[in-house]
Amino acid sequence: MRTETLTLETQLLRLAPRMRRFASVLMQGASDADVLVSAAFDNIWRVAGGKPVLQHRLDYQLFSEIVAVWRKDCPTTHTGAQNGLSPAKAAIVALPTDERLIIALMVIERMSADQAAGILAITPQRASQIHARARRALDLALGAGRRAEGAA
Amino acid sequence: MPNIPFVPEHKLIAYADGFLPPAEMAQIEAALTRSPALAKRVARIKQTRELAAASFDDALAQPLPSGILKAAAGAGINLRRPLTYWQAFAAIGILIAGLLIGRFSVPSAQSPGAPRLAIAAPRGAVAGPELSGFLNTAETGQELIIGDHLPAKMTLSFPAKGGQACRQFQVGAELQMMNAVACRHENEWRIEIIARALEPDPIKATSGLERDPVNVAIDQIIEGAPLDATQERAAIANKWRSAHATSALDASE
Repeated sequence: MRTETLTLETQLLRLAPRMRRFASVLMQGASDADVLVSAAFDNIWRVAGGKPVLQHRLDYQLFSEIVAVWRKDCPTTHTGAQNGLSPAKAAIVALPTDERLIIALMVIERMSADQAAGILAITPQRASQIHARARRALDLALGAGRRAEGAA
Repeated sequence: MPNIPFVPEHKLIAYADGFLPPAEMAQIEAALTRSPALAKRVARIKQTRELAAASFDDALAQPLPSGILKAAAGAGINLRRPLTYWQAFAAIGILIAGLLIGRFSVPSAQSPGAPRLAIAAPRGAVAGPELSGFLNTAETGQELIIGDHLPAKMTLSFPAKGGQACRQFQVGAELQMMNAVACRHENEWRIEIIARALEPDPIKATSGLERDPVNVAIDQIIEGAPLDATQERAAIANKWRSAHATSALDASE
C-alpha cells in the first residue's frame, strides 16, 4: 500500500477551500473570512512547528482554531439582512451566532453532533438542541420563501 | 386510519441527515410508508438541508488569495510577528511559567558551564496539573498538546542519583522550543532545569549528543542508564513512585 506524505503546506492548501467556506459563514466579507483562515493557519504552524499533522485531525483542529480566533478577535460578524444573497444564505446569516456555527458544521460540513460539539467545546446534547432549533428556523425561513414563490 | 407513531422533529431531522442508528432508521422508514404527511415533512427537511448545505459552496470554487497561500506556507508566522531572539525567549518563558506553580528563577549554580540562558529554580519549580499530567503519562517519543496549544514531547526518562525518577521533555515549537528536566519528589514533579533548546547542529545531532545545558545537567544527576521502554511503562503504571521501585519491579520479572 502506498502512503502519501504531505507537507503541512500541502495539507493546509487542500483544506483551504473548506475553511474559507466555513469562515464565510461567520464573517460578512470574503476578505475578513480570508484573514480568519490565515490566522488559523498561522496558529497551526506554530502548534505543529511546520511538521505534517494527521490529516483526519487537521480539519477538526482548523475548525477549532477558526472558531477560537473568531470568538477572541472578531466580535463583528454578519449583520443580518444583506442584499444580493441567495435565500438559503440569507436565512443562515440571519441566524443567531450559535445556530449559525452549528449549521456550518452539521449541515454544510455534515458533521455529527459529537464532532461539532468537540469543535465548539459544548456537549453533544447541547449541539443537538441548537441544531434542531436552527433547522426549524431555516425550515420556516426557506418554507416561507417557497410559499412566496409558489404564490407568485 | 393507520396507527402512525409520533416522531419528534429532531428524530425526523436526524433521519433526513442519515445520523440515526439502523434500527431507528427502519422504524421511521416504516412510519413514512404509512403516512404521506410525514413523508412530505421529511422531504421538506431534506430539501431545506440541501439548500442550506450548498449555500456557501461558491467559496469552494474561488481561487485562493495570496494571504492564504502565504499562511499555508508558514510565512505568516514570521512575516506578521517577527520574533527577536529575546522576544522568543520571553514568550516561551511566559507560556511555561503559566504551566507552573511556584518559583521560577534565573540561573544557575545547578548547571555549571551552562549558557546564561539556562533557567533553573533553586529548589525546582513545581509542575502544574497539565504539565504533571503530561509528565505522569507520556511515553518517550510521544508528542502531546498541553496548556494553551503548547506542543510537548517527552524525550527521556532516567533515574537520578537521589533515587527519584526524572524526565526530560521539550515544550514549544521552532524558535520557541525549550528543553527541560523534571524530577519526581514525593507526589509532585519539580522542574530541575529549563533552557532554550539549541539550534540543531548537523554534526552533533547525528551523534545524539547535543551539548545543551540540559544535557549537561542530566549527565550530572543521572544514575546508571536511562529507562528503556519497558521500564518506562512500568514506571508510568507505578505512578512514578520512585526509580528504585521501577528497578525493583524489573528485578521481580
